[in-house]
Amino acid sequence: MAQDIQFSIRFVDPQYKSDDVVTEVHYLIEDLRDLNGMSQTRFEPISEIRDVAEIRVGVTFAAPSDLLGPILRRLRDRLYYNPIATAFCFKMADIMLCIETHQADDLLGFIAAAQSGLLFAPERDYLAEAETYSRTQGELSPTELDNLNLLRQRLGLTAEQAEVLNARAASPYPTKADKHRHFEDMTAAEFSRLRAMDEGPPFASKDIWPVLQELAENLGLPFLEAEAIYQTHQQRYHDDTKLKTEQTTAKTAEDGRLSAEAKAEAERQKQAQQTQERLNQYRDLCRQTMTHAIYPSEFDQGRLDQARRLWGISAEQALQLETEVRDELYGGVASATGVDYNRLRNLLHQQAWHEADMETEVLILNALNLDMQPVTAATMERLSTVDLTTIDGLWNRYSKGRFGFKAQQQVYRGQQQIQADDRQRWLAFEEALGWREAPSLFSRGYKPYHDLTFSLEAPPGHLPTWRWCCPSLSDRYKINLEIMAAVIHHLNTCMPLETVTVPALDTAFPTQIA
Amino acid sequence: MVHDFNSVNSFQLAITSLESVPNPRGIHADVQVLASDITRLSGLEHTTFDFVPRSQRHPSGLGTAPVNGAAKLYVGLWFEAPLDKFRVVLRCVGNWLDRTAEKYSFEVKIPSAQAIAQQIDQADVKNPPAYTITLATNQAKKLAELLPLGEALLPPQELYLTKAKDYVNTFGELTPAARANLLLMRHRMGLASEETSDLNARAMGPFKTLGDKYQHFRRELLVCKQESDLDSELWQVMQAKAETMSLPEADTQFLKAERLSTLRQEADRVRQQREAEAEAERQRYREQRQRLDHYRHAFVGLVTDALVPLNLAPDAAQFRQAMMAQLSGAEFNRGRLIQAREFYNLSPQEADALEKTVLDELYLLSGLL
Repeated sequence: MAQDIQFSIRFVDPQYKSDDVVTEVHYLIEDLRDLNGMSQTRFEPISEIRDVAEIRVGVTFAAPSDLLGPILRRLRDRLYYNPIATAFCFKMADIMLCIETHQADDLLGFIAAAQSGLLFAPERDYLAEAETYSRTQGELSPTELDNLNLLRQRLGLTAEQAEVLNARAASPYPTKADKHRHFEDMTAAEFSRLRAMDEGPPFASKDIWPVLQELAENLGLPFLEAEAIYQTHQQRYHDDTKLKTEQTTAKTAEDGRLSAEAKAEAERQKQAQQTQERLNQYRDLCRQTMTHAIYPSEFDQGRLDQARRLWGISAEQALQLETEVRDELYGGVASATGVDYNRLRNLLHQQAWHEADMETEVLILNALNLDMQPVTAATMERLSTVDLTTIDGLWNRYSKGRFGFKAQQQVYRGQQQIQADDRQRWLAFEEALGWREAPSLFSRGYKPYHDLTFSLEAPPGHLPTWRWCCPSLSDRYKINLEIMAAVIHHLNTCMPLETVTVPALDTAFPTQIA
Repeated sequence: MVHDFNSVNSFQLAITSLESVPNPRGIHADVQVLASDITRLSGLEHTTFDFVPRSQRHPSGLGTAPVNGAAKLYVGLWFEAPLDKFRVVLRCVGNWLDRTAEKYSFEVKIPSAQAIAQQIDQADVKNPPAYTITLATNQAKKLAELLPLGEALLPPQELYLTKAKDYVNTFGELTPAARANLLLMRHRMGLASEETSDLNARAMGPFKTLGDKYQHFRRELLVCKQESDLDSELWQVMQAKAETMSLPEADTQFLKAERLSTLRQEADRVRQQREAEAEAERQRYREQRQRLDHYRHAFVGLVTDALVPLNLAPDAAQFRQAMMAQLSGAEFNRGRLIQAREFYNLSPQEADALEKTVLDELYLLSGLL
């Protein structure tokens, strides 16, 4: 259904001579009349006064809309060959379109518009109606679609044509629900993008609302609806960010606390290590100064004293360290009863066996608080394990295992395996220790104390003697067998030998051997 | 009223009342409402309006002479908006027209497709060849007829590319919402998917994402080794690079600030390191002094502990000799002296010098006593 278009074409180049303009108008009319369907067209001249004379500067005419394309192309071609400034006006119903140009390509836009088929009825009228419905409601409601269907029938459009025009008016998201969903998706995607950016190195922050608002406008989604969706997502994003910041801050604070604690602990350990190092250094110095003598020389005492002052070691600590080192090098002198075993250690260190034996007696009697009274079977049991172990340890250390209580226990165990008879076993034990010789016609074999052997040539277990059990040494070194049994029993109790079978003390034994 | 274009990528819209029945205040209010509606649209918040005063209207269009105070009343307005807002603006005006139901003249001016495609020189921007579409109506439906004509006059590829570049220049990449807007534009302009993919790629430049651009520009910025580089010609080169890779100005400045901060931190670190080294050197010196002082103190303690009445020596040298003999005489003191010297790890010269000083002072004191 073609409609008439009013054309007005006027040459407006002021540099163009009047005659040339008239000629151009003439050729323009000729060119247009030459088009198919234009031969009967009536061209009305446009005149204006130039140089006192009235001349034709253009032409107006009417043509059906289906000739718009060919006419535009002809006008474009003319401008292409003769680019003269021209004012073109096209009146289509109520719409007037004008352009003033000398460039042929400037007409291309209108040619394209003419080819789109949307400038004239019926497409123009249908599209305007659909666009109005879509604009006001955001979608084409069923009633509106009914109205459009009626309009389509009245305008003679096919259903397919109407569908295309509906889609153009309503965008790819035809319903409000579609628009809402699409906007929601895009908003979520925008905030996901922000979240992803927050994960890595920092980015410049930018407001995303304008582009989302633009999307809402392009979709035809109401502003308030779009804003509400945006604000919901924004709030969620801010909450997430806040939570993350709080977690990061808390973690930083916790890390800081742990770091401070670790630092304090490291400092404490460093100080403890430093203190320990000083103590170790002092211990080494002690060891160095006591290697050759139980007690350091005066010179070494001076060194120790100065070192103790320089390393900030208290006198008590220093004394303890010195004692520990001395015990380590020369054997411990621990006592449960406060007995001082230092002299015994000195004597043994000097291999003064005889004096050491007598000192042992003094110490044992001191430990038992007996005031030179001999040890009996009953008092023997009071002798503490600590003191026994100390005495044994010292004798053992300085005799390289030859002397001491353990050596005596070993000898007794040997006799245990040989002698079944108790009395014979005790006699054999004394003989094995070298305390007694084999009996003869003239002697029962007991030796005077001073005839015992006070050297390393003595038999194993020979020393220390048990003179502290003897009421007298004026005649012979002879020990009551009952006491002897009590001593061995006590030794076995306090210092059991490995895998040794200790005979139970027979309460009737003293009677038997008596 | 003739208006020059501010940008070849924009259109102009002039709206003037044609009502012959005088209702100047109503029309004035309608015009103000329209201006307000337009500025609520995204990207048009700062739109400048030229209002048409009632007195300026052509007498033939109004039919009545201006009355007192009429000059302050508007009968129309003019404004310029980006081409991609053509549909949104016309829809907004359509909504407004629905409400006013007054008759207005609408004049839309759109630069020719050729002018837009060529992005003509800045000098010619003000007056490019342009289509002028005029329509007088009081019906939104009639106004809607402008839409297909106006959109058909726009060059689709150029418009799409301009819009995509705008997004890239703002966000550094095509964000999901930007892509959604471009998809709607593609649909309106009837562009093919392949075409828009190419145009998107052109808008993005050589890098696919903003992250890639950041990564690359951060690497580029490493050539700026000191703060002054960021204010010099080198920075201009960097800005040119940023422009080439379509990195928005805001991001460029952000990365510049970041680099600046890093350089300052590095400078601070170097300064702190130097200070620490100097402090360590001072500490070493202090410790050396402390060592000597401590030995001096220890020596004084030792001498004091070992001090016994001494006949006044005739001179300092003899006094020293006597004192040292006294010290060395007792094994215990000798041991302390040796231990102290070893502990402070003093050279014999250092020890001798310190001991001499202490003993000289003591000699002087003994003289005073």
